[in-house]
Amino acid sequence: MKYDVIIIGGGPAGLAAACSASENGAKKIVIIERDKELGGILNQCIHNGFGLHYFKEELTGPEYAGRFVEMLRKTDVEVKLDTMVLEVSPDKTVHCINTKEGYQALEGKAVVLSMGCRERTRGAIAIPGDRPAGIFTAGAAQRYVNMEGWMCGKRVVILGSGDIGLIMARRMTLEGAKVLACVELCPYSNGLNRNIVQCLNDYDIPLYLSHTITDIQGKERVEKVVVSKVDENRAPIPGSEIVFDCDTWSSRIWRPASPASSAAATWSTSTTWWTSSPRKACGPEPPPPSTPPARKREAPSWR
Amino acid sequence: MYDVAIIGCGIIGAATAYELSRYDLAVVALEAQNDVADGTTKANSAILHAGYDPEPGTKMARLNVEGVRLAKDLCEKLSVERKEIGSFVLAFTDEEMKTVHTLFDRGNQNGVPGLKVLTGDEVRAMEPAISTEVVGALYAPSAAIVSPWEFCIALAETAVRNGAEVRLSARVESIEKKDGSFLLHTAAGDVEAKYVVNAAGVDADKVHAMVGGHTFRTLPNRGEYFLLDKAQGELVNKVVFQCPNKDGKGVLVAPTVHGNLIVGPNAEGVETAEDVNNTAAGLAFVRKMSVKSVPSVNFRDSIRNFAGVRANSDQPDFIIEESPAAKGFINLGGIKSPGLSSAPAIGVEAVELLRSCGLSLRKKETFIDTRKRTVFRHLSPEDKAKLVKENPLYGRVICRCETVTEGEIVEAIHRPIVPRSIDAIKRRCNAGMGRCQGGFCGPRVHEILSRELDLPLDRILMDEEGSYILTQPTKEGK
Repeated sequence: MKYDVIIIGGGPAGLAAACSASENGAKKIVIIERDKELGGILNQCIHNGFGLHYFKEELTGPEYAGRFVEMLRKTDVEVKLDTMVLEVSPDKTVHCINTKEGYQALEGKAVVLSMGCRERTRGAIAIPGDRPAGIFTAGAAQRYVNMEGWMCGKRVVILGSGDIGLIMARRMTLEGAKVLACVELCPYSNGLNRNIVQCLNDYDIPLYLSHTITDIQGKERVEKVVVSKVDENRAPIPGSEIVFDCDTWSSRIWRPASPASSAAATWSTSTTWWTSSPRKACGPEPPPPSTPPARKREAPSWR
Repeated sequence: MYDVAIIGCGIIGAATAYELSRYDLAVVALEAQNDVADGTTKANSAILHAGYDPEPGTKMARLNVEGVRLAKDLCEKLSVERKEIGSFVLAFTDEEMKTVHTLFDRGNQNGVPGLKVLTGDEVRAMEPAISTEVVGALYAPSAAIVSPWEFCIALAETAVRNGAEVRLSARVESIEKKDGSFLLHTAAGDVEAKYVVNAAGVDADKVHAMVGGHTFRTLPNRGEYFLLDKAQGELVNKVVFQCPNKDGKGVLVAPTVHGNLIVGPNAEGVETAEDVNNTAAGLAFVRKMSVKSVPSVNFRDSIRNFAGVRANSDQPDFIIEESPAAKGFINLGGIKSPGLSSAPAIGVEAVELLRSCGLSLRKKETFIDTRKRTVFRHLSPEDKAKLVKENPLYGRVICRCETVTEGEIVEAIHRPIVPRSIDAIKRRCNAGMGRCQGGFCGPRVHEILSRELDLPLDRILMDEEGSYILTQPTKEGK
């Protein structure tokens, strides 16, 4: 039994690849998805703004994924959920497992790698300090809040100003958390202008450009973080420290999920966020929030 | 009344509990933290040193060589990951070559097998990534890498299966000397024991002071590390040391048994065992020193920084003694490097010391001396297929970086020492040890712990007591 196309990953890219392969005449197609439903990370992106280009309307992440799942239903594409790929051999045999069918080796004429990416963590950017609980990647925090129904912090500061970080700032605020700062290493934000306006400015969340985290304190749970201004070489400037009382932070830097695709790897966003509040006694007055000079960029339709 | 209470369940306490569990005795290990292996044991270089470093004639020299000999067999029996990959001590100058020759002589006196002094070219022929500045090296084929926390967990679990008790979150607060016994007041209630073994690591001097003893003082010394992604895991195939200095064995570059690359440590005196924070200066020092040995280390592949505190002391050697202040109170203190390497032999030594103090030892008729652990990713495709058929939970991969299945996590939760935190699961089955550092599997491990332990989600911790993850339900989640 040989598949024309084996698609690894049932997120937006895999779903689109399956629909396209089917439209273009591939007969036997399978999507292998490790989660219990299709959609990938879209399922935890409950904010709107998806589908503006493709469907000409504003959809949430799950709705956007749902449209593709509907399109897929009209095809003969096979879907294996709750299934993990262990290995892809050079002859395009895909070894995978799940709880129902056990261990399987599927042969494919073509294999599509659409496994998305992984977030790089605090360790990847070597931020010194203690290593308490309360440090999350934005993706993990988003999963807890949007899928598990649990908040993972009460006072939040975000390092990095990529879109997901900005969107999570708003999300945490709407859920009652106090987001005290968004800290960005670059002298400009990586986020879309509309997200800076709608997620930070509308909620009076200050954005500190050319700043980074230089220390994390707290034995069991994050208690304080230290933010420093950086010079043009992105090196922290001594004496510019601002100390925040806090209980959480998290990071969002992408890397590809597969070593196979690492040749094409570029880092796109770097967002880290955490909960905190300024402590005037411990440092200079925080600089006034900067007006975001957002870079001009067209919104991809899945944002 | 227990026969023996062991204070501390790191690698030293666990090795002692394991050795004592061979005998018909009531043994309890009292651990301050909510898991075993939670101090120096979980944060070190993870090396079983060959044994050329300690001065001949010291306890360290004897116990190191004996310890790594015992570890070979123990790791095999108890399913602990260990690889005998050998080590280099690099010399960059003629002066350092003298140190290499000193270590060679010392190693031979200590009984270390197979030592050789190599030229720079011979070193690079074996290990091409090593710097062209290297003029020679000591090669010790018997050095090994190990999973230190797994080693400790395996010893402690085996002790429990043989009847010993391990009490977690049971920090000893004070000790009363009674007639022929000790009454230990702990955070988990009082414990009375005829003999006490002080294996409290960095806090061993404080515990000794509880019975009025002041023979040694611990001088906590922090070492900071980088852990790099598996993409860097084969950069070197051996443990690559630099020449030792007064603070330690210098910065090393080595593969880990889990396939990563470990780089570190520095050495810095700190106030307490709690000072395990990373510092910008410490990490910068480690980076700078490591690329001297292996210039191609790519720190962009770093996935984690950590720091551990060495239980250095004001004594030149390990302190393994009956306290002069209290009869029947055994100190296993100042267990600095090579403490992990020596641990199995220190356990045996502790039992002999207890015997000489009057503890009567009768071997049990049956002693369980094996431990099985399923490591899904190490199985052949046929065995994977068979296992998933037997138990479908092995067909669900939870940690995708490390390919850890739900079956392995559930198995870990139901072992003799129950893990109660996400990091405790990480130490038992590697979930969360990969490049995403639990970003994806953390919430899923969280759910599995909650389900298997029948605890609400907000009661599951990241690691130690107080390391809560969730604060309150969302508006919709209520």
